[in-house]
Amino acid sequence: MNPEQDMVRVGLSRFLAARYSLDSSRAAAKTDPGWQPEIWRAFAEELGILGATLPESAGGSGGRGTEAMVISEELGRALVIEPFIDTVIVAGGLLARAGGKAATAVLAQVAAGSAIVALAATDADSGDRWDGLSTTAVCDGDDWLISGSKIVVIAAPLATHLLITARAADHDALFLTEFDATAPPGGLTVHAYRTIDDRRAADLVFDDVRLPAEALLQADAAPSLARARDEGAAAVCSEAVGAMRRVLADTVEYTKHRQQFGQPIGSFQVLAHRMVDMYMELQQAVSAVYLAVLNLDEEPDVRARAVSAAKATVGRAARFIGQNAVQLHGGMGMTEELAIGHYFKRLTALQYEFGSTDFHRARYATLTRPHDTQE
Amino acid sequence: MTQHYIFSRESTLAGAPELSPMGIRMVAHAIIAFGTPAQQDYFLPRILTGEVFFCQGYSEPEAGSDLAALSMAAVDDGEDLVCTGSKIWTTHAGQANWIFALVRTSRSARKQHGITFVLIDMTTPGIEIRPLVMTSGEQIQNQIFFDAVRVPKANVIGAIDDGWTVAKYLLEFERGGGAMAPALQVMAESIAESAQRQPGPSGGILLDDPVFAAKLADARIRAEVLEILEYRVLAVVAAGGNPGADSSMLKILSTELSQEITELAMAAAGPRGRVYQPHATLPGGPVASFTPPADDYVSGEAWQAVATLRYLNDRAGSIYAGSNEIQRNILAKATLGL
Repeated sequence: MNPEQDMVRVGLSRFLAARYSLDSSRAAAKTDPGWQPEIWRAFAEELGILGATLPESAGGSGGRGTEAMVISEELGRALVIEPFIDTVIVAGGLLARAGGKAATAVLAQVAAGSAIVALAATDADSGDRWDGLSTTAVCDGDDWLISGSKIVVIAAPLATHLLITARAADHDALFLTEFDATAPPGGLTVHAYRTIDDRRAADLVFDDVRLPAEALLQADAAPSLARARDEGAAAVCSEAVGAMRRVLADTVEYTKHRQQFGQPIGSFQVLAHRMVDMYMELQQAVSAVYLAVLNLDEEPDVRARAVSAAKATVGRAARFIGQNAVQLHGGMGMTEELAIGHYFKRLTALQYEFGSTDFHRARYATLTRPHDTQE
Repeated sequence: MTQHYIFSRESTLAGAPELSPMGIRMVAHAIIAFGTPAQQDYFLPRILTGEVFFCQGYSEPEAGSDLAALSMAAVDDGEDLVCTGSKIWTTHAGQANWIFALVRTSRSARKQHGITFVLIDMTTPGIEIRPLVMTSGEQIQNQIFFDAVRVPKANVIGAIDDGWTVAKYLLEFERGGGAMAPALQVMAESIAESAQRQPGPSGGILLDDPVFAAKLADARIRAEVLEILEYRVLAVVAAGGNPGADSSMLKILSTELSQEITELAMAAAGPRGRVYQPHATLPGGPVASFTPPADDYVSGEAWQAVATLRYLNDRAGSIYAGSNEIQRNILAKATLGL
């Protein structure tokens, strides 16, 4: 980490400690609009983190994977629900690689904090994959007609813009459109909801939704989507590390104070060993994030292998640390009264985000097959 | 016991709603073994009809795994015990009209001595219930506050100061008296059914994914074997024996297997497992801070909608009725003599 990156980390960490309490963010999640727009504005105006990884041409500061890692980890530690990874890392990356006037204009708004971009990439029948699309886009005169069903589109209810993937002319194409979930265009049905981990999301049903010709951002977006998914996975790994650091610290503290049988429960060997195992899982997760971040700019297969190694490692760690933190907190870990319950839900959801632990293990196995056994 | 097992097994296989275990499966056994004829005549028929609905008052904020450290005071006052203190993790406290509780009638060097097992009418003045919001958003558990609550001595089960004997007897029923394996088999089977309709991580259907298939097979094998193990313990009880520490083994195996099965269901649910939609099926209690959508929209099938809520709730399995760490201590001491 260089001094500039460390400054970002310290500034963000201080900001969140002073301005982002678990109580107020959970209260915001459970009432409309479901997030804190003033925090998002402060991210842009006071901290400048929304442009940290965006290109300079769009008013960003041109940072790379390390900046994304530093910011995501701090957001994870404070359990921030605002869609930094979805809008800045994933959608921001897609817009930057697509280039062009429209994309650059939206990027500038993202950096300034005035645009929230949601990516509608998961089809109802594609599991958690972004390829194998059943959503289609067909030409109708100068326009496109989009039909299909997208599920769990994170941040859609708060979005000002949508990125939509659809099959067009035998390619996975990417479309960009302005969006307001409360006033969707004709043919688009929005089912908005809250997620288990207190985000806002929606299922979107497209029935011949008409978009103008210029909404097509990229005719063959598959390589860029693959990269966006890997960058999202790497950032979520980093977010998980922040959350796990907090959860482990809370658990150790709790077991030092909770007395049963006349002594702190942390003094029982079976619990002490469990927490040592949690610590070792965390250290492996931290190392796995470095592995991913160091390889994000490499060739697609090298990048994918490193990201899969990281996501599988972090998924295992999030599961072990989350489950055992609940266990060691006893009944209190099952409630919403302590931080642990909220962190546990996030550590559960992120195991399945941008590819599950099992998906990444399988992809790693495929990518590391010895060449001579392949056809 | 054999009849209980058969009843539980058949109800589960038929998809019938679960019985609340606190009355018929638990306190009834204590009343049969330790109650007076008057207590038996009053409570047993009313437990059967459901007129008396029990909840359980064991744990306290400072007495969880170390249950014998409980301190809710019961002061002798003529015909009554006057009870003051707090119980926590009480399931269905808001619905029940009676609670069986452990209270402290005296203190001595041995903390198990001086505990008394009482039945308390929940309508008695001085009782206040605070619902706890669980991670699933449901209010299933409660904390109960007792402020000078008068309990007639006629409601003491067993002898005053000797409630630990009754409690220990009951805990063995709570931990191992039931038929968990059939329910686990049904859960695992329904995941197999659903996984035929879900996409796999690398294309194709989920049930054909080798990793998922192997995990599911492992869970189903363990459930089948657990059923035989339950029969073996049941045979001992049916012959007049006590399940003893073996009930701790059944408790560990069944709760940990259940946790793996609910986790598999969550994985099978895919991205929709992340949607918070407790209205998709009957929740376990009132849901805090949630308004269902006006059109009652549910993303995916009902089982997908609640898979993650079940996973979250099921983490309690290794905590309640004596944490699985405590159960392993019991087995180490009682069974292996360590």
